[in-house]
Amino acid sequence: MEYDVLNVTAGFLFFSGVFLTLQDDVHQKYAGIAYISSATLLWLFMPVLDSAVLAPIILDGVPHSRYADPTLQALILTAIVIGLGILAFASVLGLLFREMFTHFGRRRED
Amino acid sequence: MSIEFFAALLILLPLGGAAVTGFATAVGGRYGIIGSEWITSVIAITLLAIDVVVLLAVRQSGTPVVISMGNWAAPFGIVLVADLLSLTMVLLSSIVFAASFLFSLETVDNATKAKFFYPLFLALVAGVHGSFLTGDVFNLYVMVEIMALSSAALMVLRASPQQVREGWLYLLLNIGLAAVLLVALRVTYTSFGTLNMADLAQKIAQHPDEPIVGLLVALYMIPFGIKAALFLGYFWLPGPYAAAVPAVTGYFSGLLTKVGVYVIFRLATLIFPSQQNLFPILLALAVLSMLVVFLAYSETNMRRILGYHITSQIGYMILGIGIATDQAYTAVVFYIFHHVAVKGGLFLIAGAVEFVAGSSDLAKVSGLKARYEALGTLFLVLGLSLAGVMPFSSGMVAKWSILRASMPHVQYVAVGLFVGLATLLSMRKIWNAIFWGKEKMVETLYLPLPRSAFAGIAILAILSLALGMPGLGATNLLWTIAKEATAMMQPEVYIPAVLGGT
Repeated sequence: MEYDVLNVTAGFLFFSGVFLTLQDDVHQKYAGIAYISSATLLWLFMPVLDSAVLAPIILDGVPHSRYADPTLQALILTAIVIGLGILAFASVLGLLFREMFTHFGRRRED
Repeated sequence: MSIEFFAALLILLPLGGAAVTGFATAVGGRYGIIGSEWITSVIAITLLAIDVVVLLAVRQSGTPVVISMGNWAAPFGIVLVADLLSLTMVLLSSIVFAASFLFSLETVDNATKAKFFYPLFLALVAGVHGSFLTGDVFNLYVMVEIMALSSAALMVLRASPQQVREGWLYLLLNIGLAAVLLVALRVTYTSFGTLNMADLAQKIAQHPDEPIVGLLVALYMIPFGIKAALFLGYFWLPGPYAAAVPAVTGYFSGLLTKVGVYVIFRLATLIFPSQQNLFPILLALAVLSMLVVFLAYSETNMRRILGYHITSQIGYMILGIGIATDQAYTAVVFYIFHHVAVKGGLFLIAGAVEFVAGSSDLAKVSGLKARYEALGTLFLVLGLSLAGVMPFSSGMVAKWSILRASMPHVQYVAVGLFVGLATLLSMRKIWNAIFWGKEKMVETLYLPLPRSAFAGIAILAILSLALGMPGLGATNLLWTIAKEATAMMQPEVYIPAVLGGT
């Protein structure tokens, strides 16, 4: 159930992210790429939820298939950090872009 | 001081240098910049020396150096794999970095240098070296992101409107490609349970007919095909390369797209050699990319013209990968070596033209030959080498070896020769407009070209000449190394070396 909800959420995030990225406005473009990044991370996280039963600390007498996979969580953490860094730089660049250009990439004349 | 430590230094040195020079530039003011220059020059020379040492050691032992970061064995921990292909690429990167660094010394003004020019450049080098040396697909993603972020920051260093527009689009594109790459990694991990390249190759070789493998091919080819500026992915390239600070475009043109080519090379030879559908697609992309040379004809800016030539030259490399014989792979290694040196040199010449004449627009500048004769000679050498028509230069040897490897398919040889001719015409256009004719400049200051900048270009031109000169032995040496690299990247050698013979 929660798996389906997450699937649909990630799908909608992808959809609106792509839609917004194709708009002319810098804010909407920026929101679009942020949505796409989040959707990817959410989708990356789903296999963990699918199998998550026990924290991955090995105990006696527990079959190995019952543990959640720690690798994917490490991957997501790395991807979040990198994605956030790039989005921070993109926000600065987007603001500069908005100051210099109107929509459609035309030069803003003061 | 084991050889593993030296190989890891190829990434750690530029990364540490980025931190140190960043600190120096931030607190040291003018002296900080001078200090950064010294540190960067030491790093550039050390990188070259270390790479040669590791390359010789790997040649002697005949197996790749495998470094397990964090001391976890191969399929579980992250490994760096320094085989001959990676080390050749890193050597190239170090040479072009040294040349670009020399060029940047006098041509980049202090205000730009104070905006963290050297730290960003070193971080870019660390990202490029990391992408070449990594043996883990997730680590590859991390390194590609380091590269994307630092190259985007270098592109907008002066924050002129042109740079901001191109840099913003470049960054958006790279964020999108990162998302596709993450999806590829998730599919890889959930279907094969590994992110190690050697382990992945082994597992895909056991199940070559799974439909998911076809999806994986597409998911990896899309981001790296666009990063390599293959056909239909070339649209992003000429704009940013014409806008960035000239001193770094030499390195950009040589190495950024070559990371894409390198990854496609690895995918085709190591991970997906069982996917027979991949190779006809590569051949079709190669021919279409080679024909992109004609888009350069409508451009009037020297750097934009050269930008379209990158795509066309990458077509030759992908052609060799698509032909998929050992001879073709050897030719591809040789071709990449030739191309990076020559294209880097040509972009630095475009930068030099902008430095002395104020612009590299064909309509605004002409007649530089009279006052800057040496620069014109260097352009002649590199331009003719790029077209592959100059005897005793690397271009002739490289193009000839690629075409000889594709000899069984006459149509590719025909396209290759035709595109070579088209390249020559395009170089003639630049030569006629910028170096011949009446002297005309945007700023008539008659600035002499700084010696260090000239030396940077000359290194790359001499490298191109040395690689094609019979009797020097450089051609044979590189050809032997390329042959050994081809033998070493075969799955039968690569996988046991990484996984420890299991």
